[in-house]
Amino acid sequence: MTSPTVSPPSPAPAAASAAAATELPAIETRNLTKVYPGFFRDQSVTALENLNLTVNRGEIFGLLGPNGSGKTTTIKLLLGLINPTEGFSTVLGKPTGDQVTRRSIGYLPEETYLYRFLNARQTLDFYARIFNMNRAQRMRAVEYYLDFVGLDPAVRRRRLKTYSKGQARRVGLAQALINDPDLVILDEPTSGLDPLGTQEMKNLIKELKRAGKTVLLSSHQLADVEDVCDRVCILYRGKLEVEGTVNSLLEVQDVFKVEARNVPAEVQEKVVSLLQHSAGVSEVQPGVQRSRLQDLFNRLVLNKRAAERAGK
Amino acid sequence: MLDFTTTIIGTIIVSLLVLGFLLAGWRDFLLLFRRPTARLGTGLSRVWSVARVTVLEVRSQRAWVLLVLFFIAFSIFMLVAHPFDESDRIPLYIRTALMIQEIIILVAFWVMSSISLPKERERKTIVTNATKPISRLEIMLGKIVGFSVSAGVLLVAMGLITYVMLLAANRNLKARAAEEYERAATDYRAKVVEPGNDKPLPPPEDKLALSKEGSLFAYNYIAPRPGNFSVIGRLDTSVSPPMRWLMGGTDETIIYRFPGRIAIPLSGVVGVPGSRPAFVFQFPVRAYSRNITQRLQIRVTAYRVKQPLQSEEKTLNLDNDFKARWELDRPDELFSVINPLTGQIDQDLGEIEVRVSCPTYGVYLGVFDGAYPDAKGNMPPGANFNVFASPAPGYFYQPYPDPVVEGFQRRGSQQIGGQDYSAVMRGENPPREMGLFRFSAEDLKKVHPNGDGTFTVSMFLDVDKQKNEEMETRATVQAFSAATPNDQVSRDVTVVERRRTDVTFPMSVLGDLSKPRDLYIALYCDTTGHYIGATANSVRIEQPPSPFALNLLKSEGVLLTEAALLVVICVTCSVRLDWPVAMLLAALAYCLGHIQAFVAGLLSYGGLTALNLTPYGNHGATYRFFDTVTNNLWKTLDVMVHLLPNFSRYDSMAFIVDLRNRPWENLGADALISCLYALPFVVLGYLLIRKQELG
Repeated sequence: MTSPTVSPPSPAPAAASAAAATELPAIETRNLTKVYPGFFRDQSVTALENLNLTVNRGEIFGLLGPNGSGKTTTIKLLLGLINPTEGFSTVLGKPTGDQVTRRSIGYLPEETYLYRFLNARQTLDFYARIFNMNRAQRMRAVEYYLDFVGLDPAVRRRRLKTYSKGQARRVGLAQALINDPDLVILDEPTSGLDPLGTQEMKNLIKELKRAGKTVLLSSHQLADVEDVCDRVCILYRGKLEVEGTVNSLLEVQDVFKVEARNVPAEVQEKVVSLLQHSAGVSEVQPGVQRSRLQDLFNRLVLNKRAAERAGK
Repeated sequence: MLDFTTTIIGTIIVSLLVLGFLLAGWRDFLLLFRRPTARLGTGLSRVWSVARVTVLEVRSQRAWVLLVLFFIAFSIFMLVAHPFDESDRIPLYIRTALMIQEIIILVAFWVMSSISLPKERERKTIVTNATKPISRLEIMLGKIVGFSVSAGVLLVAMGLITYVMLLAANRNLKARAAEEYERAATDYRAKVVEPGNDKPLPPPEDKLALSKEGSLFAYNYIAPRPGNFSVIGRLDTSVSPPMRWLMGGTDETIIYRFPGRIAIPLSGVVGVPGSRPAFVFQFPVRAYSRNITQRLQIRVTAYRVKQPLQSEEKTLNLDNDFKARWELDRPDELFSVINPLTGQIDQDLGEIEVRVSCPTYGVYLGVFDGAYPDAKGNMPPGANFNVFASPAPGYFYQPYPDPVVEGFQRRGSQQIGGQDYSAVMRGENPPREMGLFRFSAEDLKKVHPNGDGTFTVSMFLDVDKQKNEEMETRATVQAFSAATPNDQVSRDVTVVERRRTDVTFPMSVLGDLSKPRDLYIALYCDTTGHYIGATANSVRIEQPPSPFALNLLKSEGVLLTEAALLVVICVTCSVRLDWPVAMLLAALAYCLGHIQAFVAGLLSYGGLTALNLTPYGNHGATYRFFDTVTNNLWKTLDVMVHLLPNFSRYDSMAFIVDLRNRPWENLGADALISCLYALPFVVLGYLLIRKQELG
């Protein structure tokens, strides 16, 4: 993912379609329920129960929850891959499963489900054909998105069965974007990516938002979700537990925080003393700001790569 | 009644499927041909996208190995095959090549197409596809089209390999035939006598013809329709109606067929001799020798057409009126059984044929032509017969059917004997033998005239030289229209064993083509001691030839239609089922699709009779119970096989091994019927996959 800008070469650059121009939410579910039936009555499993959810256009929405909480079921229901037991949902203003609406959706599954006997170019060419691109458009889009996801040109003619997980993931992402979708559904997008790839993916998601796209994101990597999402919801055993903006959910009302650089030690002591003795605050935890391991890793690898490029 | 039931059940099931498709899938169906938005193409373009990937899938499975396999198998066969007659070499190669291709393609695509969709479900690639703007119908059709296209590509490649190998084989064949002819001609000129012969043999003319023509043809011709060919035997036109003569003391045989059923009541099979149903024979007799010492006898054999091994044979003495009566010992094995109460046939054993020959030397038996039944199965009034079936005395339930003369055989084949000139010289004027071919008036509209106002009749005949081996076999061919039977045009030709002989006739022989009448072509052998063997296709009206390569391609087309139909069944079966079950189901459908005729046979015999378990005498309650059970089993089986495609109709070798061009209509009919067969499967597959949960 070398160039995190979205300037699609797809056939219809007017990505903001007629549906997108309306005020309808990108995704809306009402009492969405999915029960997987068993052979006997007591073997049936309720994967999702009365889910009411609204994802607005242009926002990045995070779908969180532990394993088996119903995240992937929700996504499959929204894509029309499975049928709801009760309730209904709309995507881009149309009932789910509508063939024309799928023209404006991009989906990256949690594992890469692509034909192993095709190479990267053939894979993207196949999906571009489904979107009715002509030959010139297909060639342009295929090369653009392969560059975009940072797939090494040397491996583009190799069959996907020879790819590493990360390489296959990049091709999977490229197929999800090949149609310049209005709504991008990403199921565990950073799964199988190295930290640098993870960072690039996050940058890409932010870039998608800047381009006006709606992103529905399902992930276990809470830090990633926190970094990129505008709003999140948390599912537990198929039920919606909490929903809201990231800031409102993570805000701790009774904690005051000040960040400053190059503060002398005696000044720090005075501030702590002031808070403890003058203001009567009992829990004061002074300390040094720590960077995150992810940031350290990114910095190191990026510096190395820059040095290598300079050396060449 | 049974056909009615089968048809009704089949129609109801197919109608329900189509109705379900129209109700549930009309939107998807319309999207195949319509662009839903400016940004999406038609469904057919997406079908082709999936088909392309399927072709790549076949390629990734190294399908090209099948070509190598075919090449090796065919090469080995070409090395080891040694046909009795060199003329059969190329047809034998063609037959084998097509058979190998059929086996390879059907097995390979049976496996690949049954596995493909289950594998997509297992690897979840279908999940990714289903999130794109492509319907399930388009995915399924894409699979079918992709595998069919792959099969087509492989078949074309195999056809190309076959053609090149046949060209090489044909060149070798011609060179070998020329060499053998030259060697035989040199020996004949040098009067070399081969071991086992008492005189030098003339060089074989067929080798000369083979060396010039080779064996790669694609003839177009119009042949007599079934039943419109007969070797008349010695035809005496001096009497009215003309009569043919069967020569006694030889193995000449006349064959009668009873198109209607000879039926007896169950109780009619027992009884004392003299009270059973019988055949009655009566022949005019004429002596050709003054030295008749034997008693006048005929040898008769009756057998079931469907099971010729069930037969009864006897030698009968003709009485002073030249009549004989033959009561069968086991009539229940040959005759159908009628229910005297309803007048309906309970157990239909099919048609009966009776063969008659005369072992008495020195006499001719006169054979009446009889007549052909009309569309309702009735014989025209005044038809004469030599044989008729006589009911057992006291039974008047049904008029017994009349026979038709099926053919005239000598040494096991239909032969036209040469004119006996020595008898002519003695003033005996023996009747001449004749083969008669009738071309339907409808077919004559298609006759293609040559540039000089003539049309070509070609003959492909066997020659049996019993005497005068060194002589050419000469024949007279006469053509006349049914409208003007006296305006006969004759041609004298030399017949070469199993090589094509051409004769041209003026188009005027056909009469007024705006009101065409049947054309008759009579064939006589003019060489004493020679016999010309013929079949229904031996004489035909020739049309402009077609390129052999194109004909081969048409045969490949038949294979393709069969393979595509199998692919449809495999893909449909694998929509919901995993591949082992899908493969088994598809194989079962293919096998059942091959036994429609067999099941129809079971049904026509009915119940336990089909299993040959019908005992003599009255049947008890146990028998009747199991008879009903098995009868219902046959009915169920019949309904099942009629719901499945009739795979036995796909005969890629039908025309090409006769070196005959396959008409486009024939190929088109195969393709059209394949589509009709495939329709219920596609509908069923769509209904199964439409709401299938993926993921």
